[in-house]
Amino acid sequence: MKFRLFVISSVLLFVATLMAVWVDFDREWKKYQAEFNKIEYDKTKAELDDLKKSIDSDPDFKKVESQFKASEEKFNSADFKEKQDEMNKKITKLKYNLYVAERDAKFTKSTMGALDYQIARVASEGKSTDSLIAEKQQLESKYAEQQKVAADAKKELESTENSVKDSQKDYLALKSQFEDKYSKVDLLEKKIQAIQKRPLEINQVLVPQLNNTVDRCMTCHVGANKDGFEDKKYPKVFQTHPNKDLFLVKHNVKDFGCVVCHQGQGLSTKKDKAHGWVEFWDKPMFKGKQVEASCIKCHKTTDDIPADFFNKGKELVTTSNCMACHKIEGQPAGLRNGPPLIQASSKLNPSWMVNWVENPRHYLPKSKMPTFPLAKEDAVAITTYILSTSDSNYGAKKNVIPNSSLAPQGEKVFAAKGCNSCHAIKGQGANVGPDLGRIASKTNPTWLFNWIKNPQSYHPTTIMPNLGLSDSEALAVVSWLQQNKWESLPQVQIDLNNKELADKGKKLMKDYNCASCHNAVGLKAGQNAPELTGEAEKDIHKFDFGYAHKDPERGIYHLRESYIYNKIRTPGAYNDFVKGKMPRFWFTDEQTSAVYTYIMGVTGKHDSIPYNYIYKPKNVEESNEETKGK
Amino acid sequence: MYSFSNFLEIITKPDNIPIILLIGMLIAYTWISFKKAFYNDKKLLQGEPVWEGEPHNQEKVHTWPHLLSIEFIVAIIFMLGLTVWSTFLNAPLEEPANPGVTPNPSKAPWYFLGLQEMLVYFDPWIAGVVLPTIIIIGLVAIPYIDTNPKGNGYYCWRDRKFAISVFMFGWLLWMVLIIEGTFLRGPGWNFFMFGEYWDVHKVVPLVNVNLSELLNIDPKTPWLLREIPALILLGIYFGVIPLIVAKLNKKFFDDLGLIRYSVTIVLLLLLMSLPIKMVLRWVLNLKYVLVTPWFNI
Repeated sequence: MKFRLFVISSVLLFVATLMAVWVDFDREWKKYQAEFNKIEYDKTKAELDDLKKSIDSDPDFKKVESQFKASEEKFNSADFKEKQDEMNKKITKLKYNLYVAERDAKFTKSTMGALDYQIARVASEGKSTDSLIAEKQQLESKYAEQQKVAADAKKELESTENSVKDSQKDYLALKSQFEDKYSKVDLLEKKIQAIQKRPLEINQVLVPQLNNTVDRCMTCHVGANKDGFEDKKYPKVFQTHPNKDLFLVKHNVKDFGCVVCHQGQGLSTKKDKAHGWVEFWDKPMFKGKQVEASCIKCHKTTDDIPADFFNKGKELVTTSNCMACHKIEGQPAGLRNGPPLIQASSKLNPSWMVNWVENPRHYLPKSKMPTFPLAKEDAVAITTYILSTSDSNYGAKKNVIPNSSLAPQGEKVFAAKGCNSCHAIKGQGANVGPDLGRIASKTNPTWLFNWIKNPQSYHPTTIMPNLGLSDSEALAVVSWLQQNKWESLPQVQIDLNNKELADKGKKLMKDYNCASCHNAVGLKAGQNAPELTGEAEKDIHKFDFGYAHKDPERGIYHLRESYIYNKIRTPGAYNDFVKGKMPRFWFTDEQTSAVYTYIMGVTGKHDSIPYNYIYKPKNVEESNEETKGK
Repeated sequence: MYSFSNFLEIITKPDNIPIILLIGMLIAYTWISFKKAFYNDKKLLQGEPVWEGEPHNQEKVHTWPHLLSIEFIVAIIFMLGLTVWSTFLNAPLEEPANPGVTPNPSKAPWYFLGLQEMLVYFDPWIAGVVLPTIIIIGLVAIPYIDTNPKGNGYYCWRDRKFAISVFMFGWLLWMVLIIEGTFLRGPGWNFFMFGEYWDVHKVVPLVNVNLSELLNIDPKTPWLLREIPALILLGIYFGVIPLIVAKLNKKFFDDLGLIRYSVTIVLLLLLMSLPIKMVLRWVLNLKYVLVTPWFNI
């Protein structure tokens, strides 16, 4: 019993150990790298075959090759070799002769030096030096003779060596000519060998000077920094980085790594975790063009770099007047770009206004005003407040009565003055000003008349020009436009004396910050929403997810990125616990993505890039010149 | 709010697996020890030798190979379990640590969850310092308090009812607190039933009052005056109850002697103070019995 238990448990432990080793060994990235190596091998092999084929069909190469082969044959022939050997032996002997001759001369010369010393010493003792001088003269003549012998030996050696070289000259010239032509083949053959020998290994980029970055992305994205994989036929994971010269050469990958721009978990070698769209990873990878959000980390302006998507987001943020409620560092506060409401009661039909406040898209599908999360009662309250407090006495001319017989003339004036280059009628025309196809249900004729005569008297900063219409022309246009009714507008009764409802409306308008776009009685403009600078670095615990932590169907995850994206696209996504105030701008997916890119980019002072990475133009004037050029 | 998937999510968290194992082992070992104890009880009643005294258990064998071989097999099985566990269950890592953010729920290591649970009912000074010290001192003191010679060399329930009951009570209380802390305490250290969604927004009315407030005493009264009822109550708890017990169970008192009896009964009352305080908190929302300028009980 005990023995059996021992055997079973030991076998199981052995199996478990093998399994642990296998689980540790069998890594996802190895499969990617092996696949890439195979692709690169096939590619190089194909290149080599092509090259060989082209060489084979090249007549020039054929000629060189045959000449080289012939000369090589001659060079390797026994006859030639024998001669060469003989010559080489002779050279060895001559070299020895030269050595001996030079040695002898050197010896004689040093003996002469010793004699010089003796002569000087004997002379200083006052004795006779004659015999010594005679001996030296004898040596001098001997030395000259020896030098001559050495020079002769050298000459002979040189001439012999030259003759050997001459005999090989033709062969060597042909050889280098052939090798020149063949070197590419050789290179490719060596490359193939290298690919075959290449081990599977983690390729990482270490950048200590940039916050100790360790990026292992190129463990799987092996082709990213290699030329020749641009083609879409290669799997996306292996393709060369788009615009490699700019992004991996100018921004040298050895100095930047990958994550500083793309984000994600650079240390990980598992696909999901590395890309970072997993629980607890703070900075998941940017998707597609959203990576442009990173440019602004180092480039303090994006005007002079090709960050088009980021700039598109910036433009959308400006045109959508986000700064009316949100502060963004470096951006001016928002404009009051909506029409003023201080005289609204002389303009608007109460039923229309309730409908509009509830959702502007009912009346104008392309409305510039976003949709606030307001119920119908809220809209009624706001309408009550606005209409009961605003001035109903607008306009130089009172009580304008449209005359339907003037309508055809009005239509002509409308066309002649070019009104439809800004205003559409039931979708026909430009989309600068609002569509006038249902205008009669919105405004009254008196207001419309006075507005056409002088728009700036009602809305001082309106972009609608004063077209200088005469009274009769204006009346004609009004008469024509008054025929454009919205038959299905739901009728609402508004009690303008209901003070309680008006107060509720005022409070709602304060909460939803209406006054930051519209000038309204008793309300002040101001930014009431969270600052967006550094939103990309904001702690995840500071976002109010409500109950929407995980809902893959709606693209909701407990991630900062997911929150920001969804808040831009559908602000109501997080309204199930605390009702948010942000209105919906009806951005398309692409627009949302662009705005998201901009918001993720404007990190203000919160980013952590070392100073020497910040892009500094060589001098400011120069960069101004460049910008002017564009 | 309640769903099986919530339940499953919490019990399968990698850091909760040891607690699941703990529950299983707790039941298994309690069952085994009581089974053996009851077996011996039966034998003692019949006047037969206990299990340890049975002839075949009186035989002596050598440690090697008889014991060591069993231990070796156990070691292999243990290694097997650890290998499989560490291969397939990853370490429960969360987001990079941020000194500015406290995780919610913020939990102690599992073996300290009992202490953390005690912090709900007691002053940190009492729950974090005094009671743990007394627990350790009390455990050290057991051999000097319990001089009952019965049960030496064998294990039974009949002869050591008091000792086993007190130990099992304290032990199970501790285990229950750990299990509760692991599975039933969620965000905000709020109580969540099995299967309830761990909602970070959950709001629980936790307005607790001191004993003096329950008795409608003005909190501005000087503390010694204000706490007179509390002092009387504590005096009864630690002074009168031991007297009553000694009177009722004269034999118990005589067996132990005055000093040993005093130490035993005080340790026992301290042990009981935790469940009593828990019940008082649940029933009366009692915050502290005694509030002094230095410490609260």
